[in-house]
Amino acid sequence: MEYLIHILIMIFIYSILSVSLNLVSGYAGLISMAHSAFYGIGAYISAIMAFKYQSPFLINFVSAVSLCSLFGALVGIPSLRIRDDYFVIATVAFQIIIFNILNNWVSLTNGPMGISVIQMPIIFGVKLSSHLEFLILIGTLSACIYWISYRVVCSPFGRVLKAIREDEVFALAAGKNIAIFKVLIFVISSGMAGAAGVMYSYYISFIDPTSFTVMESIFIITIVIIGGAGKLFGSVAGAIILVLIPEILRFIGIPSTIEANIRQIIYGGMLVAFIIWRPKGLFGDYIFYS
Amino acid sequence: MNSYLMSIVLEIQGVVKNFNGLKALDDFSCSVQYGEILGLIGPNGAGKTTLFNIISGFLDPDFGTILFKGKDIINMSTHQIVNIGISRTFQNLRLIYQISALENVLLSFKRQPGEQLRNVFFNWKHSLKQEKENREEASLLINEVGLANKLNDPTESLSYGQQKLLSLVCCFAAKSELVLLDEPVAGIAPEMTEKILKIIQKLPTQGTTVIMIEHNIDAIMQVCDRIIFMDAGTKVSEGAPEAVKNDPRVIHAYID
Amino acid sequence: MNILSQILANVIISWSMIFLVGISFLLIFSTARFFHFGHASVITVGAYICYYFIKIIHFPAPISILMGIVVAAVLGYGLELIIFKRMRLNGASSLTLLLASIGGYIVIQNIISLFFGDQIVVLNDSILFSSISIVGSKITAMQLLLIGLAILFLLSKIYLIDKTKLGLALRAVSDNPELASISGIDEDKIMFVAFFLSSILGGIAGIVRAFDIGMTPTTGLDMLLSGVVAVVIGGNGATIGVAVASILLASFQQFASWQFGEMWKDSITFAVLLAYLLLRPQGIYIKSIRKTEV
Repeated sequence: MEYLIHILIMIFIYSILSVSLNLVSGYAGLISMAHSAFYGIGAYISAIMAFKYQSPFLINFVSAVSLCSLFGALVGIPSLRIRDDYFVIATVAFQIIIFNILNNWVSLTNGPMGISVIQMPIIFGVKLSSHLEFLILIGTLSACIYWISYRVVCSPFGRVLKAIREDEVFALAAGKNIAIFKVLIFVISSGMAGAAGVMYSYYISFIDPTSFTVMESIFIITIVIIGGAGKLFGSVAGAIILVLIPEILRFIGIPSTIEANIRQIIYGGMLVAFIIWRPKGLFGDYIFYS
Repeated sequence: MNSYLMSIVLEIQGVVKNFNGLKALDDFSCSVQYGEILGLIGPNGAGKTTLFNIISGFLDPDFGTILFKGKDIINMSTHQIVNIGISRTFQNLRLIYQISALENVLLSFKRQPGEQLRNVFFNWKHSLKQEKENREEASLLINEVGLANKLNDPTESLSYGQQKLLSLVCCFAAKSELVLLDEPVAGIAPEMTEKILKIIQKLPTQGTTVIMIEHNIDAIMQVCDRIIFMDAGTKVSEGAPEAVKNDPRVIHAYID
Repeated sequence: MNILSQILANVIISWSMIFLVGISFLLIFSTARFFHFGHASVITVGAYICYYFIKIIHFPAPISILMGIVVAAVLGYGLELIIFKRMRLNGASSLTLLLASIGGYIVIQNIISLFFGDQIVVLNDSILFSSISIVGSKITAMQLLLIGLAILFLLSKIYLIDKTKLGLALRAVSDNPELASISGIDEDKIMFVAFFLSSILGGIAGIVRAFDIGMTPTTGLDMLLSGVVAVVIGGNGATIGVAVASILLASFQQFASWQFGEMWKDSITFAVLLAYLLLRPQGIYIKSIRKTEV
């Protein structure tokens, strides 16, 4: 039962990550390899505050999400000047710089040794006492994030995002201030990733930089592509499938020494296969243009 | 003097544009009156589309001024120019092909509250109401041009002629005072051409001024009040359609 | 040991590696027009095959090196044949090609990890490993070889390859693919040359690296990223541009390592890239707008 709860929690975390990345990459068409950087920033801000200041969960949550949103603007603004492929490289650059900061700025982040956040969240005086309660918390958060994303993509704002991803000239000729849309969607998306990071740090209770590498970013974009870019539901489906794969591997008895490599080979192979034969993913409606 | 100025919607003064030594526009000037349909003709490379790009804010001129309703728009950004009342179409048809025809038109409406993020969450009712109105109006516009059965179909499934028609609808949906049409009937069959020309002819009655680039001389003669003939970035001839058509300088330029 | 001349030596050594890897990347980037991250795995494979032959089945060094280069070349071109060619024929955008190449990289890198583990492997050969003192700096023979290779390739690219029919064809495809194919240049043949040559260079770079400092399954990606930065900063894609950019980058990297520590080298590399992308005057962004300039 604990095991099932664990799987569900991870599925919720990755749903939040993939849904939020889908907003930026699937709907606005801006492929970003920086998502795990925001995930990490959120996790670390909450962990550092909990560890150093013993501040309560809600304060940590709000701070982390706000700061991540701000960092999101930092990535969104360059997207106005740098196009497609070069923008992807720029997000890789941002991702690696953030990883290096998390790993090397030892006085702030404890570097490779990581931070332990031992307590469960205390919300309005009520302390969560089991993983089941944590599951309910993250399930609720996940649903809220999904609802917010759904509202955004179904609105005229979301429609403009779809125009931007396909033809910015058309969007400009229709009188849309493209800059605002791009920056805002990055702000929202990165804030959500930060929220996932906060939840992750409380759940795993020990975080270190190795959870927030460029490979993690690639994993999240793989979920988006396999689930389907441009359809929120696809991201949830993708998260479910890709989180379950390692569990299936464990179930059929792959030894843990090679499990990580086999898992990555499957992810990488699926990415290539989908890109070649089913670029819209399972449920998506968008293929990446240049 | 004042009443003359009041009747000019667009004033282009001394516009110069060079591309790596190639002179695309050479001290070009002209005035456009409210409610007229102005034709812009000339050989390829004459600078017609470049002029459109500069007016609509996609390109900056090297020198010159452009006054729209008396206001200088040279330094305005592209989307700002659209919002003060200038719309355009593109020579290479531009639409969002992965969404429906209706959604393309919906995109073209100005001042949509639902496009502002705060209204998506804090003023949703207002956004919904405006969206509903826009949908009704967009459907009406699409029906008027005879594309009713293609309303919700993905735009990539429309024929070229239908897509061209749709791009015109998008341009008109913005209800701009000045509309720049870049070869609106190029590559279109005669029936559709007639349909489109009739729509263009009605625009002044709805308060819209039109500047139209075309190679189809019959179309130009049919709808335009006035024509400007351009060649090598300069204005060669200007005036009533018949006068320009018979202008020896124009004939000379075509023979060269 | 003279600090300044050691730093200078390090810059030159670093330049050589960045330049070689950068050019190998540029060959594909300029012809196939996408960021081929999978190339990192080709570099790594070259090194590991050579390692396998020398250390596991004990073949002599020259044959092992040759095998490493051959396998890298076959793998590099294999990726083009199996993945990219069909995608290109289906009209795939450079973004989807980039994503596919990332997928390819992940698969190959993890296969290497499976067979060889993640710890560092070093190829040492007592002759090549001994260090010499030049003007107060320590350089190994291997590093000298690397520098020699880089200079040799730089000169031969500019004075030989670029002037041949093949070199001209490569540049034609890079400048204007449609015009090139109308002129009768066979795109498949060009892609073969580009990928093959690029993978040979990449394999060599990987092997040298394995002899010099050592190799892990992910080293290829580190090497490639520096090369990519040099190519992007190098601007218009000419060999000289990459050479100059590589010097700049190598200098920044050595300076950063010296002042802030080795661990910040990557950050400096990417900070330089970001600064360039944000500050350069013409801004690649305008590409889509140019389509209206008809």
